[in-house]
Amino acid sequence: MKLNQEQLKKILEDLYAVDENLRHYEKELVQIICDIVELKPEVKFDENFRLQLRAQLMERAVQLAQEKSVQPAGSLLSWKFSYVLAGALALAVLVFGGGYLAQKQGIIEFPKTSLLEQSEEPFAFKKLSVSDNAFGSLKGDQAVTQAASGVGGGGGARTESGGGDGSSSIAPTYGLGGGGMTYPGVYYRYVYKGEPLELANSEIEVLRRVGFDQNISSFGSLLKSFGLGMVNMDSFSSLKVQNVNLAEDRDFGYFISANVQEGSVYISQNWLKWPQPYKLCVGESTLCVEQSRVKISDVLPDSEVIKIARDFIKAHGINLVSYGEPEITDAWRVEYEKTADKSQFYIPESSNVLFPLKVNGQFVYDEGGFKTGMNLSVDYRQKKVSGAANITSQTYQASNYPAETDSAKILKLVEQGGNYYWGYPMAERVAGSEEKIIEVGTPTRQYVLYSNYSNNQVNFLLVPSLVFPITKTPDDTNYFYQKNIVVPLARELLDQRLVPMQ
Amino acid sequence: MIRECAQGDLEKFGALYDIYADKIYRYVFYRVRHKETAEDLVSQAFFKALEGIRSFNADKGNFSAWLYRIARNSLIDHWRKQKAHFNIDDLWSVSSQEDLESKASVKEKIGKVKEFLAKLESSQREIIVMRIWDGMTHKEISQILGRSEASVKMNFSRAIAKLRKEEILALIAFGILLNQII
Repeated sequence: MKLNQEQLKKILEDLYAVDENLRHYEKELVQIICDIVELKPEVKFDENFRLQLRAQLMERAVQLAQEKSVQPAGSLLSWKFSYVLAGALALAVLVFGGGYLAQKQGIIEFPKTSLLEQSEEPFAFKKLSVSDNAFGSLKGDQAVTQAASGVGGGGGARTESGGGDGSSSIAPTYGLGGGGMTYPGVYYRYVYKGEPLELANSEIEVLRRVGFDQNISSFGSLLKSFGLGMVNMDSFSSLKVQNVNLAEDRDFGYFISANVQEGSVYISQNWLKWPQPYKLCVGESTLCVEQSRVKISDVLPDSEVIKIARDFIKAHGINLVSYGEPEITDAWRVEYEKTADKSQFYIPESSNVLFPLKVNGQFVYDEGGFKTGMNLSVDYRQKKVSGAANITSQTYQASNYPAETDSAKILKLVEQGGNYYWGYPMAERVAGSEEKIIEVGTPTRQYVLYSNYSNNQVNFLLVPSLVFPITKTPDDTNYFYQKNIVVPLARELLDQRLVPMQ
Repeated sequence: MIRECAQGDLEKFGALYDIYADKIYRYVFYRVRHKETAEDLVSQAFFKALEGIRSFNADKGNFSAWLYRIARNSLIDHWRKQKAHFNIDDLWSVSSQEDLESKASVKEKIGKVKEFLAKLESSQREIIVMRIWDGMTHKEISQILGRSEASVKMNFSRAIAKLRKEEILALIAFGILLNQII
């Protein structure tokens, strides 16, 4: 433990303020203070205990908050999203149910339903322990899972910067050849420079997100309304609600889509109710489109983007209990800085704000090593939130799985670039390829979100993993956006990734 | 964040915990030198803080000092419970196992250190640790200990001045002993 000069100076000044004579013994005093500092023991708070205590405290915080009890209902705009899944169902029933919907001065009001009363805080972390290996193979149905991984696993939008499939944001480890040809590209060699790994636990706790199993019969007589009078709904049995879509009928309104089964909500612009910047260019020259594009001067400062996002969250009662501080994740800005002719650069219409998901006090990463969580888009022109993705239930089942304790195997995957190589054979280097060294530092233990398909359904799994920060890249490495390397601690997933894919 | 938390927005408490957990743990561990006991006391402190944060007035008090004071009260409660079967003069026998080796190497210095410690008041030892190890300001220390800032400064100065007059050997031994008794 070291004391910096400023701290030392402050301590000495404090001493001289009390006894000016001590100034004559400065050398001795410095020695004394430094000796005391040197004797300070290095203390490490046990990470497992820290996380466990945090979870217990947050559980208690939720209980205390509930004692204050929030009253739901009111206008749609003040509708708490913590009730959105249940509320969406209730509203859908009311809309279709006609006669149950009361309208006053254009504002929809809906009564408390039994479902609303049932709802708990779906955004507060809750965990139900189940038996070991309860989710079956973590790899799921491999063929389907691999196919699905390329599109983000379904459900909510991907949240990492750059948008779309993260694999495109990293230069491939090998050049990809067409028709079986391979050209020598850039070979990234990952070198671990961190501390020795500590892998004490032979088991890890994998979490599976659970949605809502809502039997529609709980709506009683309203069930018939879903048929809109065209289908006899009584002729169907064991109906359950899976998806609910709603549209807000006002200027700058939103579409709200709730996937009840998966426990997620997605909000997007109701395009009919938002101004379309290129509408006036229909039939005009491309110059009109060019002139209508967002300019760099239109880009809002980060602080304003964050404020708009926070205002939206506050206005709609989205509960941030499971999310960390917001981060702007605009990868285009890096590209923009590197571009010589900036006038030709396409600037997106909106900025992305990530509220990183925290579970048990740990961040959740995607398989590419980027933080994941709730993602809000802030429209530069309108200065409004134009979409919100990955608002998810934080109720999980927890099951123990065998963990990897062999650090050599973990580091082997690190040297291959980690978890991140769907479809690329990593074991061999193509002759003639250029090698670039990527240095990797000591990892932290976090969760990584995996989506697999098993028993004809999507499973969203949070797997304890090691996240290794990339600490150094070659100066001339352009377009290398990978920030972290992810290595799952689940032995099954690690073994799968250590075998080069054919 | 503290204000919102105090006003009932308890979801912010997680963020406060993230900021202070390590600091409070170190503060407690330096004083009990036993992992499980330290963890237990840290739990107690944070649960007390969570339960009581609505009564905390962010306009009037310093949250950090308030939290440390809770941790310190937990420590005092712990020591009071221990006192019935704990001889404060026999601290060497209850040090943590990790220091067994170094303990043997300094055994010969025990007599001198005991003599040295007798000259230093316990409050001075505490202030030195809070100022130098915990990195607290005099103001924070004064708020935690419930004493005036001037008094804390004076005690710190006197303790350092006293240390200066002692031999380096005694200082080193004192530091080692601090590790185990404070």
